[in-house]
Amino acid sequence: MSNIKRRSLLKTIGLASVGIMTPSLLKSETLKEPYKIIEKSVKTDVLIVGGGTAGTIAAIQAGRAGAKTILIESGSQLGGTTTTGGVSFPGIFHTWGKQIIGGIGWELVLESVELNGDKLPDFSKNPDRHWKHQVAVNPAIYALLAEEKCIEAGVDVRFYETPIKVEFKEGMWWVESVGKGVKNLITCSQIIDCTGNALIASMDGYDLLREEDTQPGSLVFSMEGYDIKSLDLTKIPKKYHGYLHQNKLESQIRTTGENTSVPYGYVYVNGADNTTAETHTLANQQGRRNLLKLIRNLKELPGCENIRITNMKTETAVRETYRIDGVYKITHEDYVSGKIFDDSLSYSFYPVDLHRDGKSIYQEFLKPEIVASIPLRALIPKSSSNFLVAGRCVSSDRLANSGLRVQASCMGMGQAAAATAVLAHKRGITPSNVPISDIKELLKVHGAIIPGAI
Amino acid sequence: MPFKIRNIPAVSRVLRGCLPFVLLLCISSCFLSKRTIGYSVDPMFTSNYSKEENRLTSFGDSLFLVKASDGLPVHYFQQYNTGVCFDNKCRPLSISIYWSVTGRYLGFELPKEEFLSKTDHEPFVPEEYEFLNSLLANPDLPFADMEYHELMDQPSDAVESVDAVSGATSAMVSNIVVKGAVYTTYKLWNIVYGPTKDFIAGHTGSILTPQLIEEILMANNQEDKVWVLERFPENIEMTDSLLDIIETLIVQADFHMAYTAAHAIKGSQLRSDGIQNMLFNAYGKSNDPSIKSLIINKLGQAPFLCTEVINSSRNYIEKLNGNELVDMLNLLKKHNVTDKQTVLIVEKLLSNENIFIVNQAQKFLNQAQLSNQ
Repeated sequence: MSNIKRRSLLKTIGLASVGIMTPSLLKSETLKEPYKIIEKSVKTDVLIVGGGTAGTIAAIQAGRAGAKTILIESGSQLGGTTTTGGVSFPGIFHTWGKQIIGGIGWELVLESVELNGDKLPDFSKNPDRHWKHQVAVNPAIYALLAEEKCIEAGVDVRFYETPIKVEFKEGMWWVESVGKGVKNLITCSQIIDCTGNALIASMDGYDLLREEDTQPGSLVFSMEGYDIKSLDLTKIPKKYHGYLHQNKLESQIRTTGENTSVPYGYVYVNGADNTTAETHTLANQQGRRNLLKLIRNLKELPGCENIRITNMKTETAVRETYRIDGVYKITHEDYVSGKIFDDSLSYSFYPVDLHRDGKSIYQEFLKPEIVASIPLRALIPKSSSNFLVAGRCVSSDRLANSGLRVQASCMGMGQAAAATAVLAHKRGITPSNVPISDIKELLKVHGAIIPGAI
Repeated sequence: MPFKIRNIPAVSRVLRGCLPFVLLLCISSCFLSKRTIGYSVDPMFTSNYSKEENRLTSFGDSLFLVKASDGLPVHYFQQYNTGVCFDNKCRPLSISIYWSVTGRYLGFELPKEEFLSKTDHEPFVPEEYEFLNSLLANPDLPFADMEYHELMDQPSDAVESVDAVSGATSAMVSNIVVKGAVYTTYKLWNIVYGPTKDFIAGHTGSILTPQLIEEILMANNQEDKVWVLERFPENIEMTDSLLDIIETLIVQADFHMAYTAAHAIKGSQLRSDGIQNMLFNAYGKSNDPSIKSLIINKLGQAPFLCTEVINSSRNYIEKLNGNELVDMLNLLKKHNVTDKQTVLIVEKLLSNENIFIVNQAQKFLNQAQLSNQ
């Protein structure tokens, strides 16, 4: 058969099949019922609000420890700052030649590294710069694994939801949660507030603390189209040098050999606060405005004419908003002296790291062998029952908080809070009454590193 | 530290593997008596070798490999006669640089009566040699990405400067160069971490034998151990002693070493029962959950699980929790280990009070039922 004949035959067959299929396709439409919010009542053991750095780990821990667990996340994926925020190099898990934070957070980070074929830094050597021990991860891989592990642990993950009302009565929490087309009444015995902003603590009337001037947030992006080594920096105003340098990891003398590229350009967003839809919108809009202005300005500079954005995170990452007024407040002195409390459940290592006015960073490095720790009491709001927090809203003064807020510390807190909540649930008591030794034992079973044990 | 010039003694290979270098004599007397100056980062290092025993292999005119009497590589060295400056007014640099068999910096040695000098040809003092030695031992200095002109703050029309000519050292490098010898520091560092280092690593990597790997792994240098583990040849003969060494490294407390040692074993090597058993022994001994997880995932890459590992794994099932249980059951599922004995043990988990454990057991049993149909 000639080519022409074959083509015309195929065309004929194609037309014939369209003719056969079209009527059935046209008959498939149905009339949709009007939009209606589906209301449900759900009972669970532990409710975790916020699927970010701390909440993801808390949910996995609670599920693995045998608790019926619900995780509410207002966004679309797990991981928070590590994924959605773009700070995809969590740390710090090792210092002074030892591992200080392990457990589920480290498990996720290590599996991300393995799955992506990356290479870990050599933690046995103390780096000249602390961030060299942060571990670059592929944020997509991290989000995928986090979700897989939550589901594997039996966690009921609910995206696009947020609580609007919480009430503690008759020894149970009653939580109204709304999302796209859903309204749920969740009853549970324990809540862990992992919103980062102590949102649920505030809803229930616990005292929150906030600085008059909080640290700026960051909108993370990456750009290309210029060669930092070819630029004549003498012709470029100094205020732009940082932006041009920060975009390139190699300019940070990063030698861990990871495959994952973590371009870490960012613009500051003063006063960034993601507590409510309104403040979060403002923070995102401000970040995008700042970035747009920056790019326009950069393109005016010699050698930067072809600069273009290659990636921009969908949300501004937030450093500081509210802290709870806890049973114990971790002080700056506690932090820099590496105080270990009887109820310390997790370590924390990072310099005191306060971003000021979006212009400078106050840093105070911990002395050799010093590692701070987080007592359970700092995760419990004063006068609360059946309630814990984990993450940057940990009860602490501002300087201590500027070190405690980093991702590995938040992961450690999340696991500790969840282990406590599960034991409290099983025994029908409030977290402060759970024997510390029992919490430590459960944490050890799940791979966590307990302060004082190393 | 300064090193002594002495013969390589007939020490064990293990010691020789980790000590290529020497020491200097008393530094002050060195200058007074015009003796050789040499510094090493390894207190056991000796630069001496016996030409009579035909223990030198040369690569070109200046790079040599020193071997022990049994032919095992001991260290490399390269002789340089080069200018630091560009106007030919300064003293030429005459020096030998020493590297371990892995390309790690070991030290330097100057010819007799030779010395290093700074601005205005002033000789180095002992503290400056020590400092230079420590700088050369630091692979993380930023000199690889720097150009000569970035080392000094100077007018744009200045000619390329030299250590013999005064100039203001850039603040960026002022703490990582010997004062008054910025170009010497820069040049030597770039020699140490330049193409020769890569050549050495490549050459040693091409001649790795079980014996040489054991030598490096038994010696006392972490960097060398990591180097050889990262280059572990897939087709190397895994002797019993080599397996023992790797197992010990996996079990030890240092995470990086354990992690690297676990990764040294490649999937293609897991056909061997001996290697599988070694890994599973390490699993039982390790106290690090993440290393245990790595081992189990590694065994998942094996084409089959040997009988000993299957039998041993059954003993763990009832004791595990959390991710360790998930890992173990996934390993058994992956290798289709659904025999009656294993199923009976997993069935016991169904009565566990932890619903997570029950669910994991149920998932395993569901798959086992499908497989056994």
